[in-house]
Amino acid sequence: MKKHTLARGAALAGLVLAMSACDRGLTDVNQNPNAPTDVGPAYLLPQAITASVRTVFGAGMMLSHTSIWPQQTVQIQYPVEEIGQVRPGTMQGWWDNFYAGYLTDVQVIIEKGKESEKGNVEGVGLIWKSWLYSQVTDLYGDVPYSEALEGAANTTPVYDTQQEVYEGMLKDLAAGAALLGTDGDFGSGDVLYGNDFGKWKKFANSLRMRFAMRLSEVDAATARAAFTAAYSAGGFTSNNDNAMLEYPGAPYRNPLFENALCGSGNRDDHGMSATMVDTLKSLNDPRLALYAEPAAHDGEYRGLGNGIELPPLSLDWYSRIGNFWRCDGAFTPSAVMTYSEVLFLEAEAANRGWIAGDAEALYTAAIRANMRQYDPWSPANAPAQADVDAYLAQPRVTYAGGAAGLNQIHIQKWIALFMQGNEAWANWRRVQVPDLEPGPDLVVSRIPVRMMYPDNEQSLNKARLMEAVARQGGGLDLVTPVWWDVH
Amino acid sequence: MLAGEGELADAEARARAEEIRDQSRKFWTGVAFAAPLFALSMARDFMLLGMWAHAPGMSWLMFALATPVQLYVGSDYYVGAWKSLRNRAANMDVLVAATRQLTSDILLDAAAGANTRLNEFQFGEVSTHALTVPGVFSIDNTAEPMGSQDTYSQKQVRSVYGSVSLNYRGWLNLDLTGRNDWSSTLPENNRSFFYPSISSAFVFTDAFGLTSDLLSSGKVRASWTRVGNDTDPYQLVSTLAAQTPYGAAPMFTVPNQLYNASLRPEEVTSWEVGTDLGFLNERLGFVLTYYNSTTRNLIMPVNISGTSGYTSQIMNAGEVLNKGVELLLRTTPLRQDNGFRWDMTLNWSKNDNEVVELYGDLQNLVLGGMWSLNIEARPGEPYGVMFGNGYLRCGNDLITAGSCSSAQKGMLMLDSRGRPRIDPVRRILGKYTPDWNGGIQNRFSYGPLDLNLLFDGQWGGNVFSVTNWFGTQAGVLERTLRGREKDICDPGIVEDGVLPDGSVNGDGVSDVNVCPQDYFHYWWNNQEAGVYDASYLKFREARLSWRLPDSFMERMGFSGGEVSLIGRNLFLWTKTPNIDPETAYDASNVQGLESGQFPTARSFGFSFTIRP
Repeated sequence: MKKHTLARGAALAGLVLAMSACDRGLTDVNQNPNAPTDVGPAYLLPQAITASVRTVFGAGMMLSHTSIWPQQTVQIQYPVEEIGQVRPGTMQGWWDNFYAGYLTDVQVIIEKGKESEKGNVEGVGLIWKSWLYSQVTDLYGDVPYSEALEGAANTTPVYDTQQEVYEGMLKDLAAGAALLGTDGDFGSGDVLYGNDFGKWKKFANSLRMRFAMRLSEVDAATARAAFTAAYSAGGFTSNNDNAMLEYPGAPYRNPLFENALCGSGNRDDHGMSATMVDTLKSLNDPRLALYAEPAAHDGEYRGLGNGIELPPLSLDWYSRIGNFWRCDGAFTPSAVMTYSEVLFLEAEAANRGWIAGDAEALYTAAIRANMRQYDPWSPANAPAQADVDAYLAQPRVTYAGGAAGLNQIHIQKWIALFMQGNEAWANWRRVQVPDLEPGPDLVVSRIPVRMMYPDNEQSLNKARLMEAVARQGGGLDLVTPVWWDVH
Repeated sequence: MLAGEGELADAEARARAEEIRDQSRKFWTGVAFAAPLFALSMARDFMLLGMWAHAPGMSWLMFALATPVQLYVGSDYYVGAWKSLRNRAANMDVLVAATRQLTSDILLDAAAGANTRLNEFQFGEVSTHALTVPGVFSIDNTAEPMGSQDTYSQKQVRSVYGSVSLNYRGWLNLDLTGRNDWSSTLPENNRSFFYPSISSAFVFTDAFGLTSDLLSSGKVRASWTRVGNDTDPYQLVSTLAAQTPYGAAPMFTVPNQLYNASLRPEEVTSWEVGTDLGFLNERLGFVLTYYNSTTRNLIMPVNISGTSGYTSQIMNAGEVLNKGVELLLRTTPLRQDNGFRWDMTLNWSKNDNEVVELYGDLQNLVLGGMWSLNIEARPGEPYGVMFGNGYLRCGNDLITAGSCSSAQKGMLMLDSRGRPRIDPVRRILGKYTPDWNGGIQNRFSYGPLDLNLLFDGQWGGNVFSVTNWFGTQAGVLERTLRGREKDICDPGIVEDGVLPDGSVNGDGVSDVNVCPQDYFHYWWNNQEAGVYDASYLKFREARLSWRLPDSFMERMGFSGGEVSLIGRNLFLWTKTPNIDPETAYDASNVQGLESGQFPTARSFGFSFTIRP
């Protein structure tokens, strides 16, 4: 009996001990050793820049949406977006990536810059935030801005008007530029300008010029005031200031190169638009050999018309996009913003009488700058200097002044913005130049002028979304113009 | 290659060679001792040793042969076990049990225990996508920065539990259990959860002395349980995710999921009633169970608008109800004096699943999907409904708008080219959970022969077959020959439906004819076209066995044996073309999707069994 009591007692004691220690140390077990809860802005900036640029200038967004609708390139296989059918998953994916991905990272950079009182950090954060929001609003129209990115505190932010978003971006750019040249840097994390804050400042002012000009048709007074302010502050002054994102090598190579992977036979879905090829040919443009490849069938440059479901000829009859981006483009940079675009903006402003510059000189300089902008990357078919001079001497290219001159500026800018689909499409929407003919198989009523709001917003933020849709007269479609598009 | 690198490479090669030498030594030593040991013991079993098999020293000899193998060759394993025991005890149990006859009629069985369990997970990987020198598969030979992943997680759960079981005269049982867990994966103020259960069984034929030839046994049972559940490690606090460096720049990103520092445990409450009945001296057996189970406070990622900076938030949310019936019928319809016997087993189960609520006003939770067909959880529907775009048909909205007349209700709406239009409003197209499952097994035996036939199947449920959907769009399936019997667009397809002008297509008056390529390409945004009925019946297995004669087997020194011929997956009857609808897309809760599955194989084989 005693034996049993002893055993029983020991067992019970064991249980009691076990129970009393039941809770201790369990919190430590649940500390995640794999990842940090906080990192410095130097590690967040490269992600915010590279991930967003690779999306905006990649095969998904650009070659399948924003460079086919302004008719610079065309989908030669699976012409789905070509005829105006977009995938709901894609609209959703971009929306989520911009807000929950890139903008959230930038938000943290701005906060850390403010906390640590490093003006350079906060400034760069504000500039990149504005570039990101400009992409979102030019695609979707009215979007959450003032109440966005508040996490669990506000999961149903209001949709601000595009006008409010543009006001906010212009203000942020001016504030961001003013903060630069003070304290702080990003170490190896500034993959765009390598901690050259002088160039960041010029980039901010150049973006201000771009956004100001965007408002030229809907609100000329604001546009003019904002433009002249930015112009006085000073944008890019040479091709050395260009915002070009370079690619270091696998796994980060130019996304158009990664899409095609010539030789390994990855994808062959994209080609040159007939509109672009015909325009370049008719102007004897030396950029033709750079932008396009001769068709495999007969060595001629031939584009495919946009908005067609079944190409009339077999695919070897059509030119592909130039090898500088495609087959040989592993290290070809993505042009976020160039000196050539700034000169075109200034030429347009001079033509409209907003600034005192010489529109002809600016126009010519813009074309020359564009011819030379990829020189540091030695493209095989870069335009020869003699050809550039001959090109500019032609009567059709020589600046005509007045309304005709404005038209020339827009057409040349459309050519220069090749491989910068978002900006080309936005500019066409604003001024409707070049005059584009919608393809015969388009399933929507006009060439798309916006992206549709993503489906999940209809379940997750319905009231606010529907306010925005009612205000714009649409938005769950591709054909309701955004605020600054008056057509 | 730098000078230092050369030395390093040498040292590594030397260490590797040394290890190989050590392991080889152990291996050959092991073989040297194990071979004669194996030969001796096999010889003994096959009775080749004769009287030496039971010689006094034989067992000691075998032990002596085995010892060096255990202690020298196996030393690595014992050392490893001791080290892990010393560092942490992975799973420790204490259990105290007692049995007591409380009264002459009541027997008590009680147990109490405690348990601590530690789960550790370690994952390390180095990888590369490109080799410098082809054919040399070593990470050193990488042509680009190598990818790496290093993950560690641990989870500890401590529990105490007890159970009491009372038995009255052998025919009435009452079981009570209780358990409390403390889990490291939940926050401090919410990490303890208690789960009780109570069950009882009553053999009423014994209790009331009702046993007869008709009703040979009968039992009713009932139970109620509540179970808690914790979650995975590290769900309470968000961390930043490292990305592959961009050239020389390290990168991190803020994740898209908001974690939750106030999680609570999940809770599953269920009850069950059932009966086991036997008739006609156990020639007919019948087991029936009804269950009802509700899961609450599921720890799940709830979608929130990405504009908040996060696309999902981990929360306790949701209530899911599962109720159903399970039936098992065993019977021997035929049993003859010459030994012929036919046994039949039938089982049938039906589970009704419903998502009662998600979270607040949330109307859907996207669980997964492909090609814009979502698998979602929606309140009021079974878990796992298919949600997507389907055919636009003439309905009340369109009748009111004047696009079609009430006589045309239900007909397809066509576009000007004669193709069925797609409804832009997405809707429920099906569900992946079946209505019921069942199976029937028939066994015929006569003498040494035994024939076993198994059929089983599923009724209801849908599958989204991307193989059929893409195959139709691309024109590689036989069904796409429709309309191109004479030439690529000849005679074309005249689809029955309502044209944009309100007239009916297919009535012989100004019919619109569409080229098959155009028609089938237009399936691209119509997921309904790819959703099929997944009901099936399979002839799962046929097995013919012949029991080897006992006399023959005994002479060989065995107690018995048999030879069998087996055929599996012999036939499939289903409405889904070209594929096997019994398909699992992956090991998650997202099912009902099929995309390029490997075809199910019919197999034949035989087996030969010997029992010593």
